[in-house]
Amino acid sequence: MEVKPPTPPRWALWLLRWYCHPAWQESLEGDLYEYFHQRLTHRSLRAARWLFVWDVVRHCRPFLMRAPQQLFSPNRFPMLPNSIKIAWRHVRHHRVVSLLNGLGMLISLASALFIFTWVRHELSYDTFHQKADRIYRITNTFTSASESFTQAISGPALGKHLPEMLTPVEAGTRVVGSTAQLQYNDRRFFEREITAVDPAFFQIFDFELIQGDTATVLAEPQSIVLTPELATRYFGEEDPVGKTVRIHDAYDLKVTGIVAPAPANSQIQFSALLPMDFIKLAFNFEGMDDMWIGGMANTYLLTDPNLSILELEDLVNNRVGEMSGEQQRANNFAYTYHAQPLTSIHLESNLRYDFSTNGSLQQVYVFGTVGFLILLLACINYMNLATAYSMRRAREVGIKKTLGIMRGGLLLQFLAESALISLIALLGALVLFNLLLPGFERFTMTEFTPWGWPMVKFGLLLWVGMFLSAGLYPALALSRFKPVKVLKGSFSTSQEGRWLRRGLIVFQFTVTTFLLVAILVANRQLDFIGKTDLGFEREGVLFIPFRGLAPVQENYQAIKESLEGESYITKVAASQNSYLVMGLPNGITTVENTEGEFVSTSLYRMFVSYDFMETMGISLVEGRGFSRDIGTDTAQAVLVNEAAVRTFGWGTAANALGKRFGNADENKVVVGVVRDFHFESLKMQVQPVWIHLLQGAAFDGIVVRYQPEEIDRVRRKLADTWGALVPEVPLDYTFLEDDLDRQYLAENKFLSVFFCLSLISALIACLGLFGMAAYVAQQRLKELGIRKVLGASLNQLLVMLSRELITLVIIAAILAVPLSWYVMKQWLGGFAYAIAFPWWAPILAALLATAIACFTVWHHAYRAARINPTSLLRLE
Amino acid sequence: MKGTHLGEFEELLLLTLAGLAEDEAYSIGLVEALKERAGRKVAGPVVHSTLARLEQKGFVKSSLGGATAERGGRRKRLYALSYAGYRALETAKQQRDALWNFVPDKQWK
Repeated sequence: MEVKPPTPPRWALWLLRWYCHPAWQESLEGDLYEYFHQRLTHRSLRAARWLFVWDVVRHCRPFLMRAPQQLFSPNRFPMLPNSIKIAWRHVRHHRVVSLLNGLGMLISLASALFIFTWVRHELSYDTFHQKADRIYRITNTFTSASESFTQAISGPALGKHLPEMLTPVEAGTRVVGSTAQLQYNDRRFFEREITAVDPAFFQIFDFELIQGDTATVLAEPQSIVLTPELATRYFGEEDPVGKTVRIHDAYDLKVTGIVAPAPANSQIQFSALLPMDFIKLAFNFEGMDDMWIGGMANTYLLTDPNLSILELEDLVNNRVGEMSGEQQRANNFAYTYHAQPLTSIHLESNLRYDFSTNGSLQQVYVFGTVGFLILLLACINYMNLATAYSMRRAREVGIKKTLGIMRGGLLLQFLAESALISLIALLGALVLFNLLLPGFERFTMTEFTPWGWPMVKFGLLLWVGMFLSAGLYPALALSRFKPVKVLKGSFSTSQEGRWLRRGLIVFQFTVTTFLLVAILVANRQLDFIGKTDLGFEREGVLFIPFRGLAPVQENYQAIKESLEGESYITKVAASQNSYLVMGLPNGITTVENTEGEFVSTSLYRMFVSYDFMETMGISLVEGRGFSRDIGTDTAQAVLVNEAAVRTFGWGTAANALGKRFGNADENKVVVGVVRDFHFESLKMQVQPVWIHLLQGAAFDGIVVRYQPEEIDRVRRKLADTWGALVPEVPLDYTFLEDDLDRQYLAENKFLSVFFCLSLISALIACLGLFGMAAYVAQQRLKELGIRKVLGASLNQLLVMLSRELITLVIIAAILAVPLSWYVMKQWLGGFAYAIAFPWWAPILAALLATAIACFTVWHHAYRAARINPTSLLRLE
Repeated sequence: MKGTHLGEFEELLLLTLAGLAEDEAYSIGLVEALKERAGRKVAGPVVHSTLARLEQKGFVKSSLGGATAERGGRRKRLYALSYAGYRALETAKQQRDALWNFVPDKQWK
């Protein structure tokens, strides 16, 4: 065997050639080789090779270096008008393909702009607070013998006392949102988002006070700070500061300031701000500030910059443990506290009693990915069509090369072409974006501020990314043509890059099929949720949340009798905090287990009037309901749901009867078990709940069951009764069905957006396929003519023309099946009540994708196959 | 161009070049001759750039030739003294001779 002669490192040689002036290159290389061989006589090969590299580096001297400007032609601009002219001719000559390309790019860019705007909004939540990086929300996990859950709200003592007790905590505020009736003269409305906070609110957050002094506006218990919207509603043109508004028909609040509305990307939203001290006063809740356990208020703490989140959690847990440890141990339950950085809450927190406006990181990822895929699909179209049609430009390239253009020049020309097309598409996309933005804002119910530097930067990034990824490969492929081959005519591009094109088409349709499956499955699941038996009858129920105002409470019996007097109103009942859609409050109690011992637990709790179960259509499984005839029911009878039976290990519903509940002051007995009913989103399992009769008149909502077809008469009757009996209270009611739908609003919106994006991606993939089909048909026109003359049938020609593309689509569909199965299985796993994965969905999606592809391809194939062969062959 | 002025190393290199056989008159040959005859160790790159400068000044001419297997089949850049180079060397020698004559022989002889 021949031994290979030792050689210096190739890369060093390459480096030398790169920097060295061509005139010097040969002799210098020779010299270095000579040194190399000399060294080999007394040194190792390794050393010699390294010294060769060193020599290359050492010889890099100005005298020997090439002058860069001599390599390229000094001025390319004279050719520019010509290049543009040729590009324009090319565009015009292939109108359809250019249009497809441009359209695909435009749509995908517009989608990307929308997704970017939305994602930026989601990610920007709460970042406008200057101290955002040292604000934390304290949440807690409750654990008892029977259950454990984590909730967003904590005991009110934390926000009040922790800032005083812990030195590294600089300030704290509690935030409690509620709905209340406000009144000024004859103007009287229910207002949402009346938010109670502590005076440090303005020190911690950067909400802007338009009028008033941040230090004093919330100092007095009976003060209120309004947003301009509310100020105008009640005071019109008057200056509200110094005037008083009446709340709940009971207290006068002095308007001490005007606060700018919270930005759309704030987790804390308010229409007016009150001091927490007012809550203490209004609810006669003397012990509020010393209540360490339980859940009542979102608690925000501003900490020292040097305090880590773990140290904060330790401090809080230790201190709350000192203050309420005995109480926790006595009741045999425990609270553990956690801290959430302010800016992570919107996307990452989804706890019990959390903000309903919270988003999800998952959605951000999903939309980000889909947006990226759509861009990719459009780029692939450009690549495929540009390389497929490169035949047409081969002659241009050949002639230019013969006349002395360098490869760099050609590259630049083709890149400039794709840059131009993407720029036009981007401008179109911006126009489209601007046109559709108001609709998008209505749909998402958010106001966006899309314009600004980030948008400019993103636009530039999109443009550059788009034209580079779409145009680079075609430019490289086109500029690689050998002029001799091209001009001799022995050249065909059909083989070049064919496998790449095939792979890209498969990729496009895999994505499309996957998105189709995703839509089918998601749609089925949400449909399932919509139709699931919730444990109560959803049709024909309306709810009047009158917020516990005294006139309604006093006239309840009269209202009930007046309404029930009509044949189309079946039942009327009252409840406190217990409308099933808004979730339920929960509280701590003890319960008897199977061994007859009392254990501590935390339970969802409902207070309802007689007839409530009948009104809502919740059926009884065991025992009896509340009865007017049994006097002790008011104080002692309790109903529980089936979930409670399971949770407390009572075995059967019959076993549950007679079980006792109660702390010292409560001595309650289970008299009946009702069917499980859903009072939370179907993403959660049904939780145990216990149900009491209302004590006295402390109710705040009325539930009415009516016959759905009589809705107009119901409305009229309601207005009449209300006007006659309690004219001073605004009438405000909602329908159970609407409220339920609203619960899944986020999911439904997510689905519709997803649906749109999937359609767009399918459309773009089809645009590409359409172009490819046109290309295939054109390429084989002559062949078609000959086959036709020789007697091929239309069907045979169709099959011949479409076989390749359709095969690719089928392969893609098959690839998408396991992928979509896996991903959607994960998604369904997020629901406590989910459908089984529908096995037909991938098959249907695959068929659908293939059908769309066939339709697209056959359009061209059919046209081509129908052409009269004489017109194709005459020219030979 | 600065005219005919020769630097110290340029002069040395030119002089060595003048004495070398035709196919030895390239960078490596010069490096070796300088070491052997003048006892001066120089690095390859220095010789290269000095030769390039001398060529710019017109004191040497270069041509390609004399490929060997040792050089990986690459030709050498062979240098030869030009007439202008010869004149420059001569001028330098005359200058030195004149100055030597001017030195009185007192101390070290």
